[in-house]
Amino acid sequence: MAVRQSAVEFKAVPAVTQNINGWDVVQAFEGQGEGPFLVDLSHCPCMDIQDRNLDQFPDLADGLAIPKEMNGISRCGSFLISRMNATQCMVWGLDGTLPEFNAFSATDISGGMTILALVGKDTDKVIEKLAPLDLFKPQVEGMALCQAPIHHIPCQIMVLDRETKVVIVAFARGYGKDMANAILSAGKEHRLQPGGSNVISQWLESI
Amino acid sequence: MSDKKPLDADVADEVAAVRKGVGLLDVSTLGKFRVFGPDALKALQRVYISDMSRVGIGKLTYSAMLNTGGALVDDGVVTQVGENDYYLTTSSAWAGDFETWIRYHTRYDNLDYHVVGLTDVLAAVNLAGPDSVKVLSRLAGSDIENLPYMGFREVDLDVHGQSVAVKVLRVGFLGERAYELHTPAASSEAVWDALMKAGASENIMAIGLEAQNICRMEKGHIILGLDSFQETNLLDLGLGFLWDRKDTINDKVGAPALKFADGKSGRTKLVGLEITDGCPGDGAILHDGDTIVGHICTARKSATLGKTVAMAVVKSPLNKPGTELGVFQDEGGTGDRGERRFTAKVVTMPFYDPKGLRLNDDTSAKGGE
Repeated sequence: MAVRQSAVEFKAVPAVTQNINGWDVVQAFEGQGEGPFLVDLSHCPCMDIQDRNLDQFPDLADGLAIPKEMNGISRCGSFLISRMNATQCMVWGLDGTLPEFNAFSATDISGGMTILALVGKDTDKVIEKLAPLDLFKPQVEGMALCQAPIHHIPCQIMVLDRETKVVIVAFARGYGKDMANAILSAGKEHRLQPGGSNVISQWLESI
Repeated sequence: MSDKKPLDADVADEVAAVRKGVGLLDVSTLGKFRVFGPDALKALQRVYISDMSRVGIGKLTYSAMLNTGGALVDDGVVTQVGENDYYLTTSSAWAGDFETWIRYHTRYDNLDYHVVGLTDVLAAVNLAGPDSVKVLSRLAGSDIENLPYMGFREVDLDVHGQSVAVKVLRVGFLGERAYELHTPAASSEAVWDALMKAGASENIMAIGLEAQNICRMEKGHIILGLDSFQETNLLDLGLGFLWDRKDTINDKVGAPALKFADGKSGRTKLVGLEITDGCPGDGAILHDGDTIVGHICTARKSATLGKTVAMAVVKSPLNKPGTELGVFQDEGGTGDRGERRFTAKVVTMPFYDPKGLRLNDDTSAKGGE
């Protein structure tokens, strides 16, 4: 029995599974096609940082700085930082690790959130069916955070790649199962299907 | 109707497990928060009615939050986990409101503190009963036997051969030696499974909220909204000992209202009742002759005590022990068939273990001798 479990369980047969920090993480599903994909990344660790002097913080890792602008996102390798407000940001580790950062202002909240990635063609259309958010408006360039509800659930929505259309949606763990079902249902007409975490690994390698 | 099966009969086994062995209850909906920063203590002092400077590392402090009218809005435990660093629980109903509440009541103070909501990040179970320590020590090691009542410790549980970091809170809401275990939410299923396996030789039993309701009622512990209403203040509930009366600098929310109400007669008080001629339902009316003087909050036929007991709110001076009151219960019919009547006597609380010996008794850690 895995000692850590996601709230999300896809109706798909795992083809390759790896145990990462006590989680049985599906790398790929059987018959996994070309996408678009919905990927469960709930095993990825995350850290909440709150401090009045966030702008004076040193880089959390080489080249990984806290974004100065609100709703900005910075990325270094597989680490992401999303800036939520003047005093708060979140750090995400997409490869299952976090940068070594043991500040008083940091709280490890790993496993407390469901983290889903939508990857591939038409994922913008899938999200537009679920929430009135214009995430891919042409006036915005690069990565951006949107803090808004999807299906009335408060979410952090991170647009990471406007070309390949990669979006990460993170929200309180308890909503995981229903939210995943809702997204898959909304994406049915666009052939959205469960994808393994290798989808994200491959995307990270490609950029 | 009179032939209604009492709720307590359905969960008698669960209550017995808590009283004589060990039960396991999912309490994950409790609010859980980290409050930290240079001014964290000042913020806590504002919203809690107790002297929070007495909250220390390794120990739990039970306290309450009041509104400006002095009525309870929440209760829970607080502990200090480091310098300017606190961990606290709220009731499930207050989990979504706490952060707004503390920020609202400190909005003009420019205090430097932060709140991290951990309600969904951490799951929680209550391992309760005299055998709870035996079960827990199998996963946490024998050192856990030394954790005193109202103690707090962070330990690693051995869960299926892997280590899971857990916060252990030795609490007593159910009136028995008990441990709240706050575990990473992702590990909650594995931890539950490991505890059930570890407690198999003690016939550990999963228990639900009704068993919790009975156990805590026997002990006289309140559930906000059930045993209190919008105007019930701290003093009415017999929790005046929580109030830091000497505080003059923290502008504690609700303290002026308590000061005004203190010693005034004619208020409604929470009392215990014994009922010998049946078991009325929750919400039944209490009357003195033709005058309504209160209502029953929770009434159960207690298998532990062998009698029907209730928690009720009653207008003073009719709340004195020995006072007899009538109980009227509307059954939804017409005429005499549509009602039931009982006789209640005001008694002192708690009904169960009034000296608190079971909460503080550490002999069960040594095999119960």
